[in-house]
Amino acid sequence: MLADELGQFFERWQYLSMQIINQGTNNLNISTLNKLRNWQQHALLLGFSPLISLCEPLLSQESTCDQRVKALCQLLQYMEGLKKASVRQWIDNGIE
Amino acid sequence: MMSLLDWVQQLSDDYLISWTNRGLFRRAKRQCEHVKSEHWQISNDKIMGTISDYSLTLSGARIADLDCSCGVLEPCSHKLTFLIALRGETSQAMTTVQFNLDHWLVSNIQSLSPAFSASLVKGAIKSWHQGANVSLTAKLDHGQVVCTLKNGKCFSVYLPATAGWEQALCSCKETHCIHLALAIIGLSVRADRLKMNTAQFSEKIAPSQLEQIVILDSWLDQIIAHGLNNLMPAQLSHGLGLVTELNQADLPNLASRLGRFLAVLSNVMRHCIDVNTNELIAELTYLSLTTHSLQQSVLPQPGYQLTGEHKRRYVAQRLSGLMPVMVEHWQASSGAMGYRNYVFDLELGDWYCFSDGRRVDTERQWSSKNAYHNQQCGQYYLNDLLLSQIDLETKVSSDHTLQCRVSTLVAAPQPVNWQLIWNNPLLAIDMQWQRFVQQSLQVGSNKVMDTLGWLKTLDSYQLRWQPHRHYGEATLMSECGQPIKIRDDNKRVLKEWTNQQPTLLFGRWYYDANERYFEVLKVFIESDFEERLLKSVGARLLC
Repeated sequence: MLADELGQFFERWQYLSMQIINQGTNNLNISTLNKLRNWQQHALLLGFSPLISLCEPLLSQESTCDQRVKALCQLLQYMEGLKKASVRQWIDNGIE
Repeated sequence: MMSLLDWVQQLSDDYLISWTNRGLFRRAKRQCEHVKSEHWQISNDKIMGTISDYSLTLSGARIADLDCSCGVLEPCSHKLTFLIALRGETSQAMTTVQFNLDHWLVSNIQSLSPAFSASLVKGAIKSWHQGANVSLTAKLDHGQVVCTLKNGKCFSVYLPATAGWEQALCSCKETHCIHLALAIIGLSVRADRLKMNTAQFSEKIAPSQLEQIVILDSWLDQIIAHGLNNLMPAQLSHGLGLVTELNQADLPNLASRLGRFLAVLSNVMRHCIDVNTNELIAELTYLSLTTHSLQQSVLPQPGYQLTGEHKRRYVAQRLSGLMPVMVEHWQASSGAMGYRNYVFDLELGDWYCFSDGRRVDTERQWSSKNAYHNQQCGQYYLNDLLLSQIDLETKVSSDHTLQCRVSTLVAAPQPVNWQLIWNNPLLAIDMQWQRFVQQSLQVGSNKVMDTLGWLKTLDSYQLRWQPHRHYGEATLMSECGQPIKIRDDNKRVLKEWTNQQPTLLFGRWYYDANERYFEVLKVFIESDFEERLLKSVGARLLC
């Protein structure tokens, strides 16, 4: 059950991150920003609280260009680490 | 001046085995029984004899000065038999020189330079910093040092009683090897004779490399800020130029990763429909993480106190004092069985569990880790022998938070005494509950492990057994004067507990909206620690 939920969460990030990289952190359109907000909610529901604050610079109008780039890099690194950890967990426990 | 016969007398079995091997040594010992040494010429500076029709000559107090007419360059059985037979000869002036470690210790690194090259000493210091372990077994006439390198390889170094680099021997069969230098450095540091400045051995990035990394970082930032949809050919060619510059600055790994990233980017530029987005994101993540971490300052701790892959990315390890508490045995309906070994950290108050098991059939999905989550533990206790033989060095806890295989044992196991546990502030109920609250808020909190705890009591209590529920219940007062309901479903545990004396209950806290209680798994009294824990368990581990 949790594996399904997490799988969906990672899949959404895969699609969303590619969209952000394609558009560039300076030129995100409203649709992408809305998707990012939804994904942020999903992260909150799953309990990944550090992700919430990392999304903020990308969503805020006041943040500088540099802050947005740094936030995206950190999000990418965090999600990569999370993915590796969950894959390891699935391997250890046997994928149900 | 020591005679040759005296020199031969001090060659111990360990030395000869290190020089050759165990099999050859056994063979030589057998052969030695049939040797007749009456006609050998033994003088102070030369010994001549015959073994199996081959003549042997020892002309100096060095292994290299022993010649055999069989012509084999490597140590042969004749040489070994000859030395063993000579050991049996009574010396004119038999004096045993006692092994004294002080002769071997050095107070500065320069003392090693006549015998060892500078690069070799540097290599030995590097392996010491990386966490190589050195352990000495001192015998009457020699010392045996086991050097365990970070990669797990072991080398045994023989140190004779009289200090001299020529006589020292290593199991790698080389003279003046890195392991001998490492042994001397390790022993000297441990005996506080040698002080080393760790900062001078920490790795530094050259200014030209750092400059390249900053350029790469800003190039990446530009790409991320503008987006791949707005990518310009000039940015791509700038990136290609960076690959060459990174290679010139001796950063080949970064250069090759950037090359791969650029290959995907060029596909994006050409509007290919099958761009590998997975690879693109993975490469971008790697590049941003590496450039970021390489710009951080190096942590001041030596490498062996750090955990993980990279000094710039990971934090220092914490010092733990681990005490095994109980072994639980589980058995599944399918016939699989195993154990959980609960370990308590006396310094930090954390709980760890080492679990393992075996299955009876060959289910592909089966894992002993599943058992940890799903199977109910039987209330059996494996015998005390198993508890006393817990070997922490290879263990990884079930939640992977404690990996003893990458940690270092900083001290020999110490006994755990009753007072140490009874007065430990981490056993106070409010401290335990604060920890539960913190842990239950974290992602992936585990009810089996996080609710483990202690309850200290001075009361005796009468358990009311409730047969229809298969457990007994009682209420006792905590230290802070609150009534606490305890529950026990194992009659055997409570039989042992009848006297009114300070008692430590080990179990799990259950907290729910409607009821709260403490489930007792095991009862400890002072004598338990005297009889069992003192002689068996208790380990301090740096992890």
